[in-house]
Amino acid sequence: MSRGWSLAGRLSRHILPLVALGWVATIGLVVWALDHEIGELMDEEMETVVQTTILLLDSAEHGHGRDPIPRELGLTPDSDEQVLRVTAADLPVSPAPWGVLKRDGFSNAQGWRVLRRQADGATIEMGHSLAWRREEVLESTNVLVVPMLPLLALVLWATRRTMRRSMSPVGRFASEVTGRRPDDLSPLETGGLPDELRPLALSFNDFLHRIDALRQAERHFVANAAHELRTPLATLRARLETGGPDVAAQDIATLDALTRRVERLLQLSRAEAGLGREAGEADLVRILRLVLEEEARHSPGPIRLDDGDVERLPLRVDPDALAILLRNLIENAVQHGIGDVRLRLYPEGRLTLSNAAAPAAAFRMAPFDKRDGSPGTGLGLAIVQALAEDLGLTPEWRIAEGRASVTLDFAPLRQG
Amino acid sequence: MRLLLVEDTLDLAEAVAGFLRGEGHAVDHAPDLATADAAWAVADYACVILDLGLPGGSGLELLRARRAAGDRTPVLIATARDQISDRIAGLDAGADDYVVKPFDLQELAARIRAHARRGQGQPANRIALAGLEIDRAAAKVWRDGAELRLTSREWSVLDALLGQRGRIMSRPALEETLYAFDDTIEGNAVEVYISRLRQKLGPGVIETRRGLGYLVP
Repeated sequence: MSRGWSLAGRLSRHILPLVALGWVATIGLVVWALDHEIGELMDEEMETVVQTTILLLDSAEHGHGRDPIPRELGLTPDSDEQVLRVTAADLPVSPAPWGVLKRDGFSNAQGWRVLRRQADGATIEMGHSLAWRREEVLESTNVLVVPMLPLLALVLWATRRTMRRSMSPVGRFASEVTGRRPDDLSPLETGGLPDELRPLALSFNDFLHRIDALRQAERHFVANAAHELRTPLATLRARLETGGPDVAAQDIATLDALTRRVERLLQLSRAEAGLGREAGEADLVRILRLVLEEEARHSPGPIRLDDGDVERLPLRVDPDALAILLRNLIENAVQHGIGDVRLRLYPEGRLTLSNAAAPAAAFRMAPFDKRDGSPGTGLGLAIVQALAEDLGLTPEWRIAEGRASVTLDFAPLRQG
Repeated sequence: MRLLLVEDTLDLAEAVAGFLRGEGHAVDHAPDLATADAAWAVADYACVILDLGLPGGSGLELLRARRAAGDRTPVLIATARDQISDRIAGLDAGADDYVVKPFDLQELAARIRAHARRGQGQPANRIALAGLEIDRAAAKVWRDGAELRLTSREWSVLDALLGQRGRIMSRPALEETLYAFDDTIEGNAVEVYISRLRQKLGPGVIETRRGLGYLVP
């Protein structure tokens, strides 16, 4: 089975790296621009210092006669950041971190950026240490970038949160669909859904409505069929019973067998139509007693119930489905057992039904599967199986020590 | 005893009513809700056999209305609705019993007798009276172990008097239990049945109170 994926996960995996990458690229661009601008600014500063020095030298020549040209002006010659060197042809050249430059203008030499200009009788060289310039750029970058990192984290967090909040209707929609009971065919709430999801919910509601209509139609048909069949059968039976001595008891027995067969087929139809998935509430004790009251009238042997002093045991099940299941279990025990039938109810919701069984007895679950010569319809346990599955029950079938038994564990509702 | 059969399927109603009449009961048949309501309002029935799906409405509505009005007549629902929820609804509405079609007429009659007895406040089946052994559930009478043969009408008169044991029943009240709305009441029918019963049961079973009626002591 392939691993599932989520929209939120996929969006996070795609959008968050993109946002982070965009931010990093922007910061890189800004740092590059900063580096360029600071470089330009420092070059202009060098130009300004050099031009000021030239003006100073000019004024010194014309104002006060020919004074000796100073070797350094303003900036110490041994600074590791900025150095200004003024040299004249007749004077010894003071030391500088860079070597001899061959032309005027900006140049990089031995880890320095140097501007050289010629004035009358003098050469002015202004140098900036490249390491210092980088340090200045780095300091400026730090001032810019360091506050931006928490901002980037904030943006990533806000983006993720916004995505999650935007995806929350999808999650709620999925939870509402998956959290439904199988019998719940009521329409989904479409209010508050985004435009992308509303058509899906409306289509889903259409399907639910159609399924509900089909299921109702199926159930009504079975219910009507039961009613329409039972009344003429009742008329026929009453006529046979009042028909006088010419009517053989066998005819009535045949009619009763036909009635039972029709009843079982209708019960199987109801079970297969999902009767067990209907919502409802039923008191197991009351229904058990009502079913036993009917079954005891037609049972050749005793049916004993030990109700464990349980007065009421409410269950969240459809009462008709529960009654059909119990009736078929009891009738199966009465019809195919060879002795008394015993039922025992436990307060925690367990019901056991047992009967004395012939040595070759077996539970036959498949529809119409019955032993040769059986008077049954072969449908009883198939109906039980279908209903038990829909009611969420797992019957425990057992034949041991001459007794056949079935145990059902119901989940009682809490009684408030 | 007098019974009301509320059933809209005429074939079935005829067969059931015919059987119950053969058992000695007076049976009024109501094919719809309005007729049933009208009959129930004017006659004193020992038991009502009520179908649920009726022209004009549900038998449950009629039952609820009668119970709400304080009517305690025993009611036996006889219906094609075989679901337990229908049975619970019927019993909760005030029915005393519930049988699903098709039903055994003998069993139906036995249930009617049982509920009628309970309605009279006398649920006991077997009665010992003046040397007689009477089984009201089986509608049989024995003297010294030998069964006495009674016609259905004779049994109905005896059963009605047993239902009011110790109290005087007037002739019209006895006629009420013997005849339905459509029956022709013969002028001296009650006297004839009382006379026959006395011959079969012997003295001391049915007493006459001149000008008032009859009673079983």
